[in-house]
Amino acid sequence: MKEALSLVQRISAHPDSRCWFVSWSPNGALLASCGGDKAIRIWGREGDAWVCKTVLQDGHQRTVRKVAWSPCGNYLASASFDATTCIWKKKNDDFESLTVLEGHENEVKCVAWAPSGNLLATCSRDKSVWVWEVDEDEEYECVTVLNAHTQDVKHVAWHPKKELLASASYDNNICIYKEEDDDWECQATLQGHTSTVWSLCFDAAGERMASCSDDRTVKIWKEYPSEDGQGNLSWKCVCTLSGYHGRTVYDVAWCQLTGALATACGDDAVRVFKEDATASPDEPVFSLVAQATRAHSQDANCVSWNPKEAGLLASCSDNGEISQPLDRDEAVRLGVSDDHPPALLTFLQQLQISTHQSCLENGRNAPEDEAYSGTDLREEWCDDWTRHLFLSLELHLDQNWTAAEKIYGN
Amino acid sequence: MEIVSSLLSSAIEKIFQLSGLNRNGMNTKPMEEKALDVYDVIRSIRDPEKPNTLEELEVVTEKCVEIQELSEDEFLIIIKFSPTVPHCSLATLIGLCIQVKLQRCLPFKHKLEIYISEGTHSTEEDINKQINDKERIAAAMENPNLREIVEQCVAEPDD
Repeated sequence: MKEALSLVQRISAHPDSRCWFVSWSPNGALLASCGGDKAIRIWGREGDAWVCKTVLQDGHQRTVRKVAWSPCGNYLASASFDATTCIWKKKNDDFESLTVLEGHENEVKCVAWAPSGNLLATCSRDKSVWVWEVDEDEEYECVTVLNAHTQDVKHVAWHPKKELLASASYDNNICIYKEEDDDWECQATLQGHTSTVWSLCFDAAGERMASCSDDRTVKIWKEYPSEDGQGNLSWKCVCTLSGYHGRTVYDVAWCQLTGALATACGDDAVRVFKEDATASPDEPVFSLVAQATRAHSQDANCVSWNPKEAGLLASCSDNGEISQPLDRDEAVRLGVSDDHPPALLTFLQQLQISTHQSCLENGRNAPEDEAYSGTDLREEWCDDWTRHLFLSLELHLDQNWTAAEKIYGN
Repeated sequence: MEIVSSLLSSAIEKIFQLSGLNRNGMNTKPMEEKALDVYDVIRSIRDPEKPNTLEELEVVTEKCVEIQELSEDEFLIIIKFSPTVPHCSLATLIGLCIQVKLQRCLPFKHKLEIYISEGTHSTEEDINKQINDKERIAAAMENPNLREIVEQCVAEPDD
């Protein structure tokens, strides 16, 4: 059954510049976005709409590339091209700059909090990954500098259950780091992608990891006990999703609630994949269940699942917008992309409502979704009232053709 | 309900079909013209080191621009340029200038890929990867010195 991604709201978050990243707060109530305008914006829901609650303007001198919420939700970390990472503390509805972490030689590409809340990781174009420790006095100290990559490190992510860190790089590799005898070291280097790995994420249990790349694929990695008998784990690529993405895949996000995988791609689309429950865990099969091919008018840079509300996804783009497509296993979906003229959309929505009502009035339940493909429906009709519906729809359209033409002609 | 929504999808397609004439009328500029539009934008970019344009130095030529249609209103532009000297930093700089100028000046929706023509440079692959990494480009353009050079190269000639 194909689901659909329908748009909840489109926000012009960073006008005249790029929106690089969006991140939900741990309680799902706030969305932080950051971009080329050097600002961070915090969005919250007021009624049905999402509004900007705060703007953090003067924290950085250059593009803010990523933001990350601490697990408790009281702190926000921002990584910037100005080579610093800023830690913000939440005070009621506002944020105050607590401290600035310096040390990287050039652009900081990512920041991530460990689930324990005591550790922070940052990575940079200077090829290094730094791990910072924070104590109860809110003091941050760098505990290690890891140089496992040979090029720009694009992304870091923590394992949800263990103190394990993963990093993705321009050198096409993924590195896994672990603390061994008080010292952090690179435990494994995962090769497989044939170009820059832009992002990676773990599933809810931490057994698997998804990575996405400039090579237009998404790879799923699974952890296995290593053969060396030393109790170490090794990661193997168990699945590669290729042929779905037209251009570089910039971000991948694994929903902790539903297990769905979302991707943001340079072909302007946002896609959602689900795992087939019947496949073996060593050879998982993921199928595309929903896509918004024109989610944005430019490259989609980031996708983020709301941690509390299943199916709510935020994505952001080079055109400075954030959009929240909603993916639900629910009733009627229009299959109309949101860049049709608004008047046409309303017209069709009205039509949809009235046909739904006549189903109810006729005391009929809608036929359960039959598998159907193609647009020639006549062979697939299962009963008379469906045909009647279609004919009256055609008639309605023919009669209203001039009206529709006027709408569409704009 | 799936069938009802499918009916609506086919109804929409019918609308599109019927108005197909209108829609196609708007975008029928042939590809060759579009390629020339692109070339017109990049030909006047100045070389970072010499007082000549990329066209004069034959770094770019009409043939180096290729256009593919991605969808009805979006095109993929592929440019292959030949730097005059096998100097790493200059080649990246030229690629950067081409990127920036096209991003600013092209009127139609596009995706861009810029490459060094095969065989013209020793570290082609490295340079190609850098030029096509939009994050690297964005960061480079925030470097004031680099930005200054690029701005001078892409500035419209005052005539």
